[in-house]
This record gives sequence, structure tokens and C-alpha cells, in this order.
Amino acid sequence: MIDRNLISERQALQKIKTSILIKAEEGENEFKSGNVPYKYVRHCYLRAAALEVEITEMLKQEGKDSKIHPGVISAISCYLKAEDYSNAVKLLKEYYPKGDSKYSDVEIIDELRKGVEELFRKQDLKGAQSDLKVLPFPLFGNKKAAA
Amino acid sequence: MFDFHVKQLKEFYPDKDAYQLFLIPVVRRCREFVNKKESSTAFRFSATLKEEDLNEDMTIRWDSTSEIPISSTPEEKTVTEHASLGIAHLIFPGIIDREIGERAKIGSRCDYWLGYERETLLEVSGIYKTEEKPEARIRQKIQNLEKSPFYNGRLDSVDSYISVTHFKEKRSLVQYVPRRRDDR
Repeated sequence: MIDRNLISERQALQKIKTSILIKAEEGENEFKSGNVPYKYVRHCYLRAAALEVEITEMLKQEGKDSKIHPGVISAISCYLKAEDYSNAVKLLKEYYPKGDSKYSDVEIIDELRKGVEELFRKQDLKGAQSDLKVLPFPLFGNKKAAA
Repeated sequence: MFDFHVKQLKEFYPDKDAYQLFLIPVVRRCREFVNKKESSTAFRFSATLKEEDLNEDMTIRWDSTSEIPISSTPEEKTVTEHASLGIAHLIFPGIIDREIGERAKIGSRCDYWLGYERETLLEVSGIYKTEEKPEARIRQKIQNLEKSPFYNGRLDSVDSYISVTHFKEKRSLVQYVPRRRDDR
């Protein structure tokens, strides 16, 4: 059997993050049914994103660089769900720099694209444009038309 | 012979709210296809693992206090999904010595990581009471898995498991899916 006394600090954080993500997803369902405000869902996703970043940092310190992508992808997704586009773009800039086509066809990029489209729609366009310069893919075929 | 009590789910999530998200759906789905006075149900469990195949009887037990009334009424689909996840939580430590460790998020096309080292993915699915066969659902999930960036080599490839539970037929299946051959 698994010895639960041997669980590391990182594993404990992974477990907590999982609990929070479950609550976030459940909260999303409840939000759709009108039972909870989105504020609750956003709070859960922000907490999960922060934990993902912390776990990613720990994995880097352990030299497990190949394991960090799932966490980064998850963190970006969580920031998008929480409508925190600024942190989503910040992570993208850090981990998937402009010009690196290695990850350009990974599904999360599409998710991010959708998220940034939301940014265009909901937030101040001027502030958004400075964030968008870091994106490693053309956002729209015709930026002017999108603006 | 596998014999589980739903209370074992507490081991995985010390947080009360989190484990109840699985415990309540498991009891609800298992109860529906037995006499109301029963506090257990028998499943047929089959697994195709990396090195062996398993065919076992599996009993899921609960008690009168296991199913706590909840204020909201979740969608049937969500109840079935969470019930299947609950059963997968119980099964996996026993068959591959790894617990369901971490939620995998959007982009991975999978539900969970087995263990904490992000080396094995787990896809979980449930069938409530339709005629659909769990074997067909597994085939469908394998096709879905092939689109995962962790399977197709766009990110580091990993092995995967698929777990499908059919509640009306009382069958639970697990299938091992090796990573792409050219990445092994």
C-alpha cells in the first residue's frame, strides 16, 4: 500500500490543488444552475493557478523540467477561467516565448487565443494591446478588423 | 476479489467537501440498481494492464450515513462522472500501486495523473443506464487520447489508463494504453 507518511510538500500541494480544482469545476456547474456567484468560481481558479505556479517552481528546483508543461498549461487555463488575462499572458511569455514554434500547435494555445479574444471584448483595448505583443502566434488574421 | 467501502475515499481527500463530491455520487449510482435496503452492490471488474489481465468480483459498500442530502441537484451526467471517478479512486491503488494524484487540466484531453510525477495519465468515464457497451466507450476514449499532446509527442509522451464504469450493467473496465511506439 501507499505510505501516506512519505508524501512530500510538493505532493501535498498537488493534492490541495486537485481539491480546489474539483471545487472550481463543481462551482462552475453550480454557477450555471444559478446556485453560486461566479466570484466563488473565480476565487477557486485563482487559488488553483497560484498553486500550479508554486508546484511548477518546485519541479524546476527538483530538475524535473520535462514535467512542468502540464502545470503551466493548467495554470494558464485556470487564469483564463478566472478572467485574469494579464497573468495568463505573463505565463505564456515566460514559458512559450515568441518565435518558439515548438508548442504552437498545442491545444492550450487555442484556449488562450479564445481567452485573449475575450480580453479584447471585455477589457480596455489599449491595455490589452501591450499584453498581446508577447503572444507567440498571430492573434487574428486582421488585427485592425478585430479591434 | 475487491471489497471497498465508500468511506475509503476520505483517504484521498482530507478536505471533507472534496471527498463528498465523489462519495455521494458513488452511493447514489450504486443504490439505484439494488434493493433500497441493501448497503452493497457487486460489480464485475476486468482490467487489461501492462503486464497482466485481471477478472475479479468487486463489492462496493456504503452505510446509512454515507449519502448526505445536498442542497443542489447536479446534472445526471455530472453525478455519473463523479461516481466513476470515485470508483477509479478506489480501484487504482490496488491494481497498479498508484493513487490518482493530480487533476490534469484543459489541453491534456485526460482527467487525472496517476501518482505525482506526471508520468501516467488517466481518463475516466461512466455510463449510467444506456445500452452503450463499456468496451465501445473505451475505444472512443482511446481515439480521444490520441489527440492528447501528452500522447502524440507534442509534449513528453506518457502511458495512459482508461477506466469505464457501467452502473446498470455493474461492470467496471480498465484498459492500459501505452505511449506512442516511436516514443518508447
